[in-house]
Amino acid sequence: MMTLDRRQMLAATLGAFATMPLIARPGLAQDARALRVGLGAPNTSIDPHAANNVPNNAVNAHIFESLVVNDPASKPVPGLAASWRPIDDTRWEFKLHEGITFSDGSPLTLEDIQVSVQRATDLPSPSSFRNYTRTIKSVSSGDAPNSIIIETKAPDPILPNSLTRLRIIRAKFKDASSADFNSGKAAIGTGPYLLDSFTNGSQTLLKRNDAYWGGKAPWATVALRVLTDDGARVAGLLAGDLDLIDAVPTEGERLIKGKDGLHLVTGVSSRFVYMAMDQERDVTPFVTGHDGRPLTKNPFKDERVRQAIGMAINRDAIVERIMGGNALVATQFLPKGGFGTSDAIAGPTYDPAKAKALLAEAGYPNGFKLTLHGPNDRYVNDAKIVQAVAQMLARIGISSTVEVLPWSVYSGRVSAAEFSCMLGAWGVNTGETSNPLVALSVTYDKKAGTGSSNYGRYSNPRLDALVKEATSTLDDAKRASLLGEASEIVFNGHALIPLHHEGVSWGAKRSVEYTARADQYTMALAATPRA
Amino acid sequence: MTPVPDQPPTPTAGPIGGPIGGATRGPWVRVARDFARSPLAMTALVVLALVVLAAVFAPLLTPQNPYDLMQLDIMDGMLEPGSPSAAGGYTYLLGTDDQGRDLFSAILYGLRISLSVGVVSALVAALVGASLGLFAAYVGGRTETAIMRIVDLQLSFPSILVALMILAFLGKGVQNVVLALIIVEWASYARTARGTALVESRREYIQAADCLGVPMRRIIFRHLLPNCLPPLIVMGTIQVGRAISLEATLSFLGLGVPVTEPSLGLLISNGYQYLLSGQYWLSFYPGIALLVTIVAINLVGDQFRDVFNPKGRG
Repeated sequence: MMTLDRRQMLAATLGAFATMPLIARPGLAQDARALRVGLGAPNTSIDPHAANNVPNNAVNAHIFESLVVNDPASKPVPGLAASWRPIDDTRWEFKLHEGITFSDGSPLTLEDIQVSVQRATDLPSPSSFRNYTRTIKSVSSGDAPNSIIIETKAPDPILPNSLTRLRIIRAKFKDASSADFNSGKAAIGTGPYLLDSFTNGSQTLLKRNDAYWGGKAPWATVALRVLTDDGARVAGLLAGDLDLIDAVPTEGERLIKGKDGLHLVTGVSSRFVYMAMDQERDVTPFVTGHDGRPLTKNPFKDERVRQAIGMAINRDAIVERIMGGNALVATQFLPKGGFGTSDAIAGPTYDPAKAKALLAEAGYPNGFKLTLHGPNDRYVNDAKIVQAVAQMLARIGISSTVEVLPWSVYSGRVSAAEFSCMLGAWGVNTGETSNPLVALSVTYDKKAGTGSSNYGRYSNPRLDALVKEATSTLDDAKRASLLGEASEIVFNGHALIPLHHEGVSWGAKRSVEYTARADQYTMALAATPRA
Repeated sequence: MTPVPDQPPTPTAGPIGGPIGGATRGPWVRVARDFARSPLAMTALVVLALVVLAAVFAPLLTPQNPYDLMQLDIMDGMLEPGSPSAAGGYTYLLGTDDQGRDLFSAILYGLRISLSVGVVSALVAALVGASLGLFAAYVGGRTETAIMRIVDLQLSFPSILVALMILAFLGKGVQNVVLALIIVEWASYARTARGTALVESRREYIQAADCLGVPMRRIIFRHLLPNCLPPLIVMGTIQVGRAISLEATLSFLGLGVPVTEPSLGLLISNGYQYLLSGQYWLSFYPGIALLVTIVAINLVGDQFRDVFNPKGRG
C-alpha cells in the first residue's frame, strides 16, 4: 500500500510536468483545398435557432444564411437581402437577391423567412434568438417581386443588425427538431457549404455547395475540430495538423509569430472589459476598514472614490504586460468613432498620486480593504487582470484580496449583484452602443429585461430616459448623438471603469489568409487560400 | 469475537514506550543509529531539514514578500532568471511570474504553505485516525464494525475526488484545504492503527493492565498507543508527502489557495500555460522544489519503515 502511495505521488508530481497534450490525428488527407480548423469553443448544434452563441452562429453561417450579415467590423452589410430601407417608423423593406436557392434546389420564398422568424422566436432555448426577433410583428411581401416588408411592434432602429442573427431554414422543416438538423436531415440552407457530418463536442465536417447562388467557395472541404485546450490547439497548428486556429492564448502568440510558415492575425474584438462597483447598497459586503470592521457607508457611492479607482489602474500596463499587447485600452464601450460613442470621453488617466488625493478628499485618507471578484476561465487572462488591478489599488491604500471563481459559479453570483467590486466584460456584437447601455448601465429591471448585466446596479433616471429615446429613434445621426450623450453619463460619471477591448487572434498557415472579425467568428468564409 | 486484521500489521521492534519517559531512551537511540546507516536517507534528511529551514526563515531569506501586493510591480512581470529588479535593487534569481512576483521568494513562501498544510493535516489526521483506530480495536463489537466500515467506505473513493467534493462544498482557502486533507486522510491512519493495535491488545502487558483495572483511556493512550507508534510514524511521514502533493494538485486545479498567495501547486499551474512558449522558469523551478521536497520526505519515510521493520533489514 505504501509503495502504491509513493507511485501515486510520483505520478502527481510528474503530471505537473506533462505539458504536451496529445493531438488528434488529422481526419482528412492533405488537400490544398481542404481547410482544417481548430476551434477553442465547441459548437453545440447545427440547428441555427437552437442557441445563440458565437461558435454555433459561426459554424451555422456556413450552411444557413441571413438577410443581413455582419462584416468583419460588425457593420450590417447585404446577405440574402441586397438592400433595405425603412419605409416609415415601423416598416422596413428588404430587397432580396435574385436566384437564391436552397441546397436541395428549391428557391427561397417568403414562407421560408416567415417560418424562420417564427421558429427562432418560439423554440425553447437557454440562449434564445427571441432577443433579436421579438420586435418583429409581421413579415409580408412587398410590391416588387423580390421585396419583403418587415413590420415591427415599435420603432426598431437596429432591426438590420438583429437580422444578422436570424438564419433562414426551409419552411418544410418548421417542426423539425434540433436532432434533425444535427443529423443533416433538416440541414438544408442557402449557404456556400453543405453539412457532411456533425459530432457534438468533436467536429463538424463541411463540403462545398457547388450550386451556391453567390459563386463557388474556395475550400472543397472544411473540417472544424473542437480543441478546447489552448496548448493542444497551438501544438496542432505548429505540428501542421491544422491550418487555422482561433483564440490563440497570449503566450502562444509569440510562438506562432516566431515560426516560419505560420502567421498571426490579430484584431480588436467587440468585447469590452471593465470593472463594476456596487452603487446600490448603503453598506457593501466586501469592503471593510483596515481593521476588518465593516464601513458604515459604501465608498463606491461616492463618485470621487470611483474616479480614484479609475486613476489608480494603469491600463497601459495591463494591455502591455497581461494581454501581451493584444488588446486596446478602452475609454468607452467601443473604440472612438464607433456608432454611439462620444469624443467628449477622455477615460481615466493613470495618476496614483491624484487618486490618493481624491480618496482622502472623499474621507478615506488611508484607503480601505476590499475583496475583488472575477472569473478565472471566461475572458482572456481574466484572473491575471483582477490580480493586477488589486496590485494597483494597493498602491493607493486600498488593500485588496482577490477571489476568482469559475464562470459556472461566478456568473450566478455576479448576476445577483453579490459582489462589491468586480470584473465584467460585454461583447458589443451589434457594433453600436445601445446594446451595452441597455444591458450594463440602464436601471436593473427584470421585467423589462433592462440592466440584465448591470452588476453594480447603477441607476440614473436621466440615462434611462436618454437610452429609451435613442432605442426608438430611427434617424441614425440623432440616435448616435443620443447614445453618445448616454455614454458620456456612464463614463464621465465613472459608473464603470473601462479597462480594454479584448484583442482577438487567429493563428494560420502562411498559405491561409484570414480576416480578423470583431465578432470573433471563426469561419471558413473568412479564410482564403494564398498562392 | 476474533476480528481478522485488515492488513498484516508491520511487526514492531518489540514494545516501546511503557509507563514513563526513562525507559524509552534505549529503543529510540537504536532507531536513530539504524536510520543513520543509509547515506541516502541521511542525505534526504539533510535536504529535508534545509527545505524546512528555508521555509521557516523565508521572510529573512527572500528579497520580496510575494504576498504583499505593494511589493509587486507588474512592469517587472515575466522577467528571465537573473534579471535586475527595477525598483527594489535586487536580482530576480529565478525570474518573475506574470504579476512581477520574484519566483525565488514565491517558492520559499509557497513551501511554507505546502509544508505547513502537509504537516498540520497529517498530524491532525493521524491524531483523529489513530485514536479512532485504537478505540475500535480495543472496544471491538459494533463500535469497531461501524468505525471500520466508515473507513472502508472512505478508502474506496479516490482521495482527490473526495477532496474536490469537499472543497467544492466548503469553498477555497488554506483552512479548507487542510480540513479536506484531514477528512481524506484520517481513514488510512485508523486502519493502520487498528491493525497494529489488534495484535498488541492481545499481548500479556495489556491483559495485565486490564486485570489491574486500569481505565480504558489510560490503557489506550499509555500502553497501546506507544507500541503502535512505529507503523504510524512511517505512515505519517509518507502521508505528509502525500498531503503536500494533494495540496499541489488541488491548487493546480484552481481549488486550493487564493491566487494572490500561491503555493507551489498554484505556481506550477500559473506557469504551465507558458511552457509551450519557452518561459520555462515559471513552472520549472516550483516543480523542482516540489519534487525535491516530496522525494526527500519519501526517502526519509522509506528508511523509517526499514528501521522499524526488522525483517526488512539487510
